[in-house]
Formats: sequence, C-alpha cells, structure tokens
Amino acid sequence: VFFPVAGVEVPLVWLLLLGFTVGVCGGFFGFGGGFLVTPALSIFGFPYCFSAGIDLQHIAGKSIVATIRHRELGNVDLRLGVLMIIGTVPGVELGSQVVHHLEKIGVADYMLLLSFIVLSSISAYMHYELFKAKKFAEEKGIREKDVLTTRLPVRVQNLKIPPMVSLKTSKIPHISIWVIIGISFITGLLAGLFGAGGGFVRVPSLIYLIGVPTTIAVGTDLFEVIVSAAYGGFTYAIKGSVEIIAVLLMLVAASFGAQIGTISTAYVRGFSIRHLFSIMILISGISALLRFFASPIIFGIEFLEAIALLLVLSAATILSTIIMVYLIKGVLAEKRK
Amino acid sequence: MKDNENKPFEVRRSAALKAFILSIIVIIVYWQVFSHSNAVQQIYTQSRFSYAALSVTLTATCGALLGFLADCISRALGWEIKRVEDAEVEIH
Repeated sequence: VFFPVAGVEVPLVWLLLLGFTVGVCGGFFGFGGGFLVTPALSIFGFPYCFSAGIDLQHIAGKSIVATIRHRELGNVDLRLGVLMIIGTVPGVELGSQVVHHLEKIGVADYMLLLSFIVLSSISAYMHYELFKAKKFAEEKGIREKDVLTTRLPVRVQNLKIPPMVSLKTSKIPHISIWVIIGISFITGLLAGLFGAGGGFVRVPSLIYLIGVPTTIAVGTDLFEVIVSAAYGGFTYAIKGSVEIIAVLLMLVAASFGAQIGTISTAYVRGFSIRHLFSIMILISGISALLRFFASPIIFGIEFLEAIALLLVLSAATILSTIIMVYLIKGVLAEKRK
Repeated sequence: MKDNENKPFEVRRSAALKAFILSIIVIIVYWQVFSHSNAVQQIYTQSRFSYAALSVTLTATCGALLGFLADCISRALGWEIKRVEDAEVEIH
C-alpha cells in the first residue's frame, strides 16, 4: 500500500499483523503498545516521527474498542479513570519537557537506562509478590479471587487526606483523591520520560498501590490510554506526522486483536494476567537496555537496536499466542460445563 | 415467562440487525476515506489543524464503530458476556 502523506510504500500484511498482535496484548494487559509499534513502523519504512504519530492515533482507536468490551465485562472504573487522567496529563507533559531538555544537552538516551531500571524492578517485585500470593492461595484453597499479599494498598487507602472518594467498581470504600492524582502524576511523569510504556507503570501501580483488582486495572488503564493517546496523536497530527490511511488499516486488525485480548481476561485469573504482564515488562526493560547500549553516547553498536526490536516483537507474538490459547481453553471448558 | 423465553432470540435478532447496520456504516466510512485519499492529502497540505482534527475524529469514530460492531456480532452469535469472577481483590 502506498501512503501519500508519509510518501512510503509498506506491505499491508505487515501492518495488519502488527496491529493484530498489539491489539491482543493491549486488550489483555491494558497497555497501548508504543514501545512495540513505533520502532516496528520505523523498520517498515515510515519516518520516525510518522511512526510515533501513527502509533499514538491507532492506540487511541484500539483502546476505544477494547474499553467498550472491558466495560461490558465490568472492568472499567470510570471514576478512577477520570481522576487518573487529571494526574497523568500534566505528568506526561512534564516528562516530555524534561526529555526535550535532556535531548538539547545530548543525554536523553540515559532515559533508556532509567527505563530498564524501573521496568526490571517492577517485574522483579511482581514475580516476588506473585510467588507469595500463589503459595498463599494454594495453602488457603482460594481459587476464584484475585489475591494480593502486600499491605501497601491498605496503607495507601488509609491515608485520610480530604476529599475522599469511594470507588464502587474497584470495591475500594474510600481513598483520597490526592493519592490517586499523585500516583497518576508520577506514573505519567515516568511515561513521559520513557517516551512510551505508560501502561507498564500504571497497571502495576493501580494493582499494588491503590489495590484495584487486576482485570479492573487493565480495563481502567485502557480507558485512560484513550485520552492520553488521542491527545498525543493530535499533537503529532498538527505537526503533520500522522498518516490516516495507515492508522485506519492498523485499527481494523487491532480491533480483532483487542477483542481476543479483552475477552481472554474473562477466562483467566488475575494471577495469570500479572504473571504474563511481569514477563512482558521484563522483556521491554531488557529491550530498553539494548537500545541504551546501541546509543552513540554509550557503545554505538547499531545492530543491538534491531535485536531489541526483534526481542519485543517475538515476545509479543509468543504472548499473543498464549493469550489465544487461554481463550480457546476457557471457551472449551465453559462449553464442557 | 413467555417473554423471558423469547428474550434471547429477540436480543440476538436485534443485535444482528444492529451489526448489519454498523458494518454497512463501517464499510462506507472506510470506502469514503480510501476513495478520497487525494482530498485527505489536500487537507494535509492546506491546514494541519484541520488534518489533525480529521484524523482524531476518524480514529475515534472508527474505533467506536468497530467496538460496537464487535459487541453486536458477539451478541448476535449468542456469545454470553461472562463477567469476571475474581474482580474482587483479597489483600493478605
């Protein structure tokens, strides 16, 4: 397909496959997929600014599709989502301003190292907590509920800084609005600093800091992604870096993928989502480290950039397959019942 | 009782009709965008703000249409929307 605005020709199948894979992972994990789509589109031949613009716009559209389905499943806490947006937007703006400043002084690539440290730390913590929670659930015979073994959400919910808000969907009786806005500001700031990966920080924060059930954290994050990605996509489009035709083509495939990813969350326990999520963010962290080493200010080994992309693309493809297997197994088990 | 028995069929028929209408709308929107790609390019060169507004509007519209279409198709096929069982967190 020839894209007149970007002035490039890209095979349609690649775009559709990429859209589908990111749709499955995004619907299941609740992230946009910017860490995956932007570099992939650049490899396909789009100029980098177009890759980022197309990515953000298609994420906004795909998140609408996934949020509609998550809402059907009762996984979207609108009140929490709106409050999170209030903190996220200024956080992302501040983060991107800091990155622009760092670019001017030529050290912006160090953000990749920070990204590796943050993502691998979150992944390590999630693995540790999952191990404890699974052991606890097995000992107590808790099979249906989403078990957390950290008391952190209780402490956060007990911070009595008025005004307080009740989150019925997330089954949180009271929590300070300032706590939600503060957490979303920090996660937004990190997303702005990393350039992508907001969902990787936000979803674990919703689970481990606020105490939101895993599936609701996924759905609520997708709701938030609609606003942040649409805002980002609009700013890129004003700069002329969005190819509408590519966005709409990817959106069709992403919609199918998002349906599969979203419906799969109804057939797995919070444990499984958290487990796969922790693997995905670890691989993204390693990918960021490889890109850091590929940077001219460190070693300048260019092929590491390609390996980094190959790593996340392979991981996303494998995880999408696992998610589809979960869905098929779940549907078959339900039919047998 | 009779109403309840008829409900699933009525729900499915209504969903099928909605899916049909939505799929036609989606095809028209996509067809219009693709057949007017020159006009889109013209907007791009004339006004970036209009192009940005158009791109965001089209993305949001197509996202919503595709989302509701998928929802209607699954209802029409009789796939029950199963609400999540573990949507309550137990903190220990």
